[in-house]
Amino acid sequence: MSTKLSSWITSPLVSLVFRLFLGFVFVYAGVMKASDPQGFANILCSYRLLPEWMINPVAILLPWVEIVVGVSLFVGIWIRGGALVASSMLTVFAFVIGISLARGLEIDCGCFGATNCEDSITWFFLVRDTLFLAMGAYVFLFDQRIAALDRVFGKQVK
Amino acid sequence: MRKEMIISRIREGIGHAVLLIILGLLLGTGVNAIRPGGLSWIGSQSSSPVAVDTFQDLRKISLDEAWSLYLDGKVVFLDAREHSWFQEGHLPGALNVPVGDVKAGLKKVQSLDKRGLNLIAYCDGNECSVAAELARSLERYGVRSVKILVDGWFGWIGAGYYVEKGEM
Repeated sequence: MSTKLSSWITSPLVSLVFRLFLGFVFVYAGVMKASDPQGFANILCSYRLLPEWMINPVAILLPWVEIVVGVSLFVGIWIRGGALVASSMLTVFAFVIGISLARGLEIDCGCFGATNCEDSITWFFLVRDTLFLAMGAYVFLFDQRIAALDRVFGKQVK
Repeated sequence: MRKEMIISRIREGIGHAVLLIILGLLLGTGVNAIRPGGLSWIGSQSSSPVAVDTFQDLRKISLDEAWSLYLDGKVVFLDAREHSWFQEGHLPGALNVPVGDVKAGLKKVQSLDKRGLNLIAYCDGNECSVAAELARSLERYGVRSVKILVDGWFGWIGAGYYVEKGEM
């Protein structure tokens, strides 16, 4: 029973679903932010966590790191690297959202750029981010490179 | 999962993670350099580069114009500062809408906007950004007519105009 449960939990298909989903989310989030860096800079400013000199550089660079990581996960190349960066970013985002909620800020999340569709941050955003983080950790630990470009380069699954 | 296996995965992951981050940084730098209207890296050298860069499209109004509108009874001032500062003194008839608590005063602001009144946000002066942040937040809730008072609170009292204290 426990072996069955264990094999289900570490199923390569589960990891594949998580990887494709996270890859899509990161590419989408990155493209939305990169399409309006000024709007994203506004949102970073409203969090009041970064010093002013860091806001524009982060608004310029962060979306592209998200896009690269998303593509890495989606097409399955350097998966563990992609999962590690994704999980690290999601950890930082979770801290930022948590701190902002604790401070009572009513600001746009900016998770998917400066759209007008998102309401102010709530605990839901923190829960969602934590779920994504769990998926990232799962992919890092259990991904077996199903439908992944990493296989094309002939690396063995360790 | 064996310990060595985890360590080997972490090693491999870190190496690739660094390469992915470098690739992302290079792409971001390159695209920003070639795209029309790319963001400046450090903004201007003023004390509030972000405010200058990100709020420049907001409409501004001078002290004299604001005073004239006030005398005509066609304006409501929005004080974007914290409540304690508001209590110590504010522009006549001002509504306190701290930028961190926009939703609390949103309905009131929306109804004033619908009545066609001029809405003018202010904070301490030219160096503060919360009035612009308030105007930007209100834009997201559909209130797009808010102007920013140039010189803010200190400009107003410096000009010797009438002020009020305490609660509204």
